[in-house]
Amino acid sequence: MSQRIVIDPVTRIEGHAKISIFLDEAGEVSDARFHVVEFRGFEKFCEGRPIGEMAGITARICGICPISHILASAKTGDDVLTVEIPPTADKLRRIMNLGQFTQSHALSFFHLSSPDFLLGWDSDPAARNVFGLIAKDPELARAGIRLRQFGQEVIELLGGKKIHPAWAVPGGVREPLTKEAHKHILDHLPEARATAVLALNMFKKMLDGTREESENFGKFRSLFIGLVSREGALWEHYDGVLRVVDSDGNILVDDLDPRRYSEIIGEVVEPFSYLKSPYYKPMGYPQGMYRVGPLARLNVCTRIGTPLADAELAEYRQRVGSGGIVTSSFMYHYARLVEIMAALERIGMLLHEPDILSTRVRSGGSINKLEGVGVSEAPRGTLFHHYHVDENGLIKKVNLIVATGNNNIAMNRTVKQIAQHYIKNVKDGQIPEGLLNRVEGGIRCYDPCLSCSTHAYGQMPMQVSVMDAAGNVLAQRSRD
Amino acid sequence: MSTTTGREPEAQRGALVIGYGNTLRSDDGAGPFVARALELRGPEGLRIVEAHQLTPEMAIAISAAKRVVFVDATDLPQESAPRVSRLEPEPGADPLNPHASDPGSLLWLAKTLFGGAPEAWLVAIPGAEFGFGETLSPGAARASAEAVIQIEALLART
Repeated sequence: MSQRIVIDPVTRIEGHAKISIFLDEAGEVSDARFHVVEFRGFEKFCEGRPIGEMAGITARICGICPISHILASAKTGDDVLTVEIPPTADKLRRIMNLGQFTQSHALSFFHLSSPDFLLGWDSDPAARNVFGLIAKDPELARAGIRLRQFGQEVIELLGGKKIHPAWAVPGGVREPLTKEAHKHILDHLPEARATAVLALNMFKKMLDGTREESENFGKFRSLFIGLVSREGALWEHYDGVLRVVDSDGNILVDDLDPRRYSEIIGEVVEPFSYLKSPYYKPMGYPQGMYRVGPLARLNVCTRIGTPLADAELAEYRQRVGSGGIVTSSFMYHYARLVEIMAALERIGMLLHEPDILSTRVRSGGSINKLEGVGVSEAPRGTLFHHYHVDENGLIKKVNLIVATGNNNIAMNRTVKQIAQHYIKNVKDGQIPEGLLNRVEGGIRCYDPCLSCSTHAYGQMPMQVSVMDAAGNVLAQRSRD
Repeated sequence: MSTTTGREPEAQRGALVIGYGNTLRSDDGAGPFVARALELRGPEGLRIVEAHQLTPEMAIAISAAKRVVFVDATDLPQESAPRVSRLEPEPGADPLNPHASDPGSLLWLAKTLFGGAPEAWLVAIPGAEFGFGETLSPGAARASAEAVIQIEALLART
């Protein structure tokens, strides 16, 4: 009799989701699916709102990466107003995004994923958490919190508060950088860089022991999409042009104006998830599977453009990509650390720009177009905002392709690959917890952010149910 | 709102008030409301953090404070007065997860990783309305005003 195993909810991710693993009559994994079980509705209820409010409203999509939505929304507003924002505003928006990368990547690596690395996939689940992490390596836990603090401070010093600062607006930003904030960030950059080095060294030491994860946590051929700079195709996080590469490093699309994203990206809605499944249109669905985020950004760029991060990128490519494209999703973790270094170096460079304290930070404008697109890189990947407005600037239609959504097909493929590799010959629905943790770990590679502004109420126990094809529960257990 | 980095020199260390909650969820915004009111009244030596959620880096600022007051809304529509209780460091909820963190676990994090264990209290504001909205219900507004006075009195004790 075929069986179905459900992991509900998936833990140590941002948001709520579950995983179903389908077993055939021989107890082997026949399929696996990643379900997002929340519905948010932002695309619909933004209709009728003034475009100037959109940055503040869409920031509420997420409590971890609100800056990504604020920036993409402000850029969409720039497009509708048809304004060129002041150079200083461009630099300040970039600094805020880099602060966001730092704090978000730090949360993912130090707090959400490192318990698996440091304590082991099969360790006691009661201790495989932040408390176990603190007991095992308090210095690492402390450094991770301080690094996240640094990223949050960058955001707060620019935007006035850490979460949901309505600071970036169509035409630029509301407030310039103060001398005090400038000094504070510069003063604390060295400690942040030292923490990035600590984490990189820790991960690199661990690499030889993670061969099995590297081979089975989402290692497959796919496309990679991300922004690169207009000149030299350098690593980009805020502006630039879209590039698409395949697993052999062939460039399929280059220098594409992000406003033309809909020429290459289509979206499908699957009945088992509220998360849409974007795909690369020329290859169709689901063959047009692509990945975004740290792994993709490091695959699509030529180099980063800062010395320490470029050295790390070269080592990364050599060690886990045979000098070229890195295809294992497990290496999202490694890529995230390289990006933290890139973010910190870029922040330092931008703070030394001669006009960084200029008070000319906002351009004026009015509704000059009835349609606008804003694309930037969120920590988890490329983020698309696309608005239609009326003559008064009221929103008529919204399309959002969120960073995590871009990876939906790949996340499903990853879950299936891990399940098929680790889960064998299941009898009576009994699967060791450590194996199920690896399946969850596959999802954590992508650091998905599934609408964390939805409040979780009370405990979120992980429930594993084994069911036959008719939905009958064969076995069930849970852990807190 | 003042920025609290936890990196201030010893001489500046004093009382810290953390008012937290979702200001788009009516009475859930009582914590930030009280924080703003305290800042407007401007008691000397008081540092204030207004936040959507409790976040792990707050442990650094907490460890550097002598006294900490957390202000949060609570779903107790039958009550009218704020409830004040002493807090102890307690490794309960995951302090690194903003969705799960609570004051006791943040105090534990401050003590364990950053070596500071200030006196701490939770001031819980009873709320009745937690749907979409940017204003407090009359009951929560009254309780919030009372909480401001209570917190000032609490921190004025030697």
